[in-house]
Amino acid sequence: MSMSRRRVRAIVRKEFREYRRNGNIIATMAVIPVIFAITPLVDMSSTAASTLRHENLLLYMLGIPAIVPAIVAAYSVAGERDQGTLEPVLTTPIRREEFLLAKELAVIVPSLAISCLWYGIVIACVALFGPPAGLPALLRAPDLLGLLLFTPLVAGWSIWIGIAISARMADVRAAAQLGAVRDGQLKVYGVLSPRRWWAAPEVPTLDELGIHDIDASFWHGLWAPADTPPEVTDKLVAAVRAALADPEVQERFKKLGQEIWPPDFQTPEALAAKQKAEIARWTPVIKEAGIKVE
Amino acid sequence: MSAGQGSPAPRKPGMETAAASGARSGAPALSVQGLGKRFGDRVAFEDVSFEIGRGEVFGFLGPNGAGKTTTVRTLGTLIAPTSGSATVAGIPLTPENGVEIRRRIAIMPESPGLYLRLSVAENLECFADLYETPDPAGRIDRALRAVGLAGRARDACGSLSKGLRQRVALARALLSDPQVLFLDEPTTGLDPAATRDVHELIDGLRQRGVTIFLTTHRLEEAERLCDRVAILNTTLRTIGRPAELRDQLFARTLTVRTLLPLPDPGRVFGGLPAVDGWQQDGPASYALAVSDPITATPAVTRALVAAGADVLFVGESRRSLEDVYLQLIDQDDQAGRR
Repeated sequence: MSMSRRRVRAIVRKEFREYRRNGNIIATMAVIPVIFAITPLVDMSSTAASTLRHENLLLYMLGIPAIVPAIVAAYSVAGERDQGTLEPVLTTPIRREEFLLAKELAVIVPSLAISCLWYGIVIACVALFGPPAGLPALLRAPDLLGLLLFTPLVAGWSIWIGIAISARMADVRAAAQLGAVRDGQLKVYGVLSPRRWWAAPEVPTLDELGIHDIDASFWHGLWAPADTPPEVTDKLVAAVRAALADPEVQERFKKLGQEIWPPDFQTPEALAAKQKAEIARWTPVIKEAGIKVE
Repeated sequence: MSAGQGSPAPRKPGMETAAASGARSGAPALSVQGLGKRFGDRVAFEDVSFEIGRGEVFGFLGPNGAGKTTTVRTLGTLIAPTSGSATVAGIPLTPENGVEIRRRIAIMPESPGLYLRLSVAENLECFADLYETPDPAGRIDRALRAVGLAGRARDACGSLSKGLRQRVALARALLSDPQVLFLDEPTTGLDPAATRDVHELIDGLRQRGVTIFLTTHRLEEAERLCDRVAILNTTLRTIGRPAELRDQLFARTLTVRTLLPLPDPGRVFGGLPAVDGWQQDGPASYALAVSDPITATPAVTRALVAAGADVLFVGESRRSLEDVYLQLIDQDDQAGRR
């Protein structure tokens, strides 16, 4: 099967133009590498003579090709979906392989360039400002080989995770965060709700980790004015319960990362109890911390 | 075809298409036989057959959820049909022909789907390359001039109004000089002035001989722009020229209005051979069933004058395509309720 270079190039060029005008992608590309360059630089500057506090220091920097492509890919796929551009593109003569190849290239090329740039920056800093024995300690052949070999591999793997996650999530930010979590780059310690979160069921709750009585999940309720007749509130409650029981509504909520209260909590009494409990819980915290509404 | 129940029966779809396309040249631009698409148990559309001649503007009408967009996506090779067959721009609709078909057609989807951070020209450049058009700069220039956006090439798409974005999407669809142009609800959400602009653009394309497949639920739009229309409600309910559909479904009527109510309308209208029946539909207003308005109108006027009535109005009341549409969709709703 023949691929059209012109079509692949068209998509790659379009992607680069979009990156340039997307603050989030620029920020990702600028900030993430700095984070991963800090450890080697700090370590090197505080190291006396020939001993390194950490072995294989260069390999720390594999974090750059591991994390940058996942986030850029997540933005790229989710952005395509949010703007509704996938359909017009796929109705052109482009083949799916060409489209996927172009998307991958558009992520991997800048990611690799940024990774190599930062490897260079760190090595140059050590050579110029580090201790005399720093450079040979840093540039060990196996490490360099590992870096050379693993940078593209890790980046390619990271892209797929970014694409897979963002294709599932409706929200760009949730996609980017979850992408990093699934990837193992961000370690999630626990969810702040009493039950595990459907979107990341492998993450334990704090309760399971032995930290009890922390429930800081966001919740939503519906209120009516105080003098609303009971038959009106009954009607509203029935309508809301019916809506929340609808599989399509549940699916949409799920996509937004929201969880629906279990049916026996979908009552005015349960909401009143929840509200009272929350007031009782947070009032002392607010008072103690001196939190004010601005 | 499930169009049979209820009276009056619409003409069998697909029968007159050969005649209509025969007036145009050569093989049909689009030919569809028994096409259907199911998603699991849900039928999006089924048993759809029609032919569209080259240069024809074909309206595809139906309520929301009738399967219009799914039909367009199927014919545009985005999704595969589950039954039936079709030939699009002379090429059989099969998975391996997807690229070849997409080369010859263009689809303007309901939402423009532009890259909002890119300029108008950059959007079109990307698509000109995807179509591998020769002389992209010239094509882009021509397409922008065709939609009246020549001065906005450098504007970011995100800064354009909805109507202008729709025009950019139309320019994008024109880039490849398509043999068949699919326009999916091109005026949804546009204000009247922007709608009129899009209508004029479609009129212009028709004059250039582009075959257009237009889905819409705006009936005055279809009536104004289309040579023929089909009404889809999961199955194809009817197909034909707008005027033919009106005549098929409705007896022709004369509306008569007088200054004062007629003392004895039965005596005035009853004796006229040209009038098949009458009924009062207002204090001094009457609807007369006639078979030929040309002979009936003078006869009715004379009879009214002879009866001493002060005539305000005698004229044929034109049923619109909207009446046809509502009649058919109501039939479906009632059949569904039964």
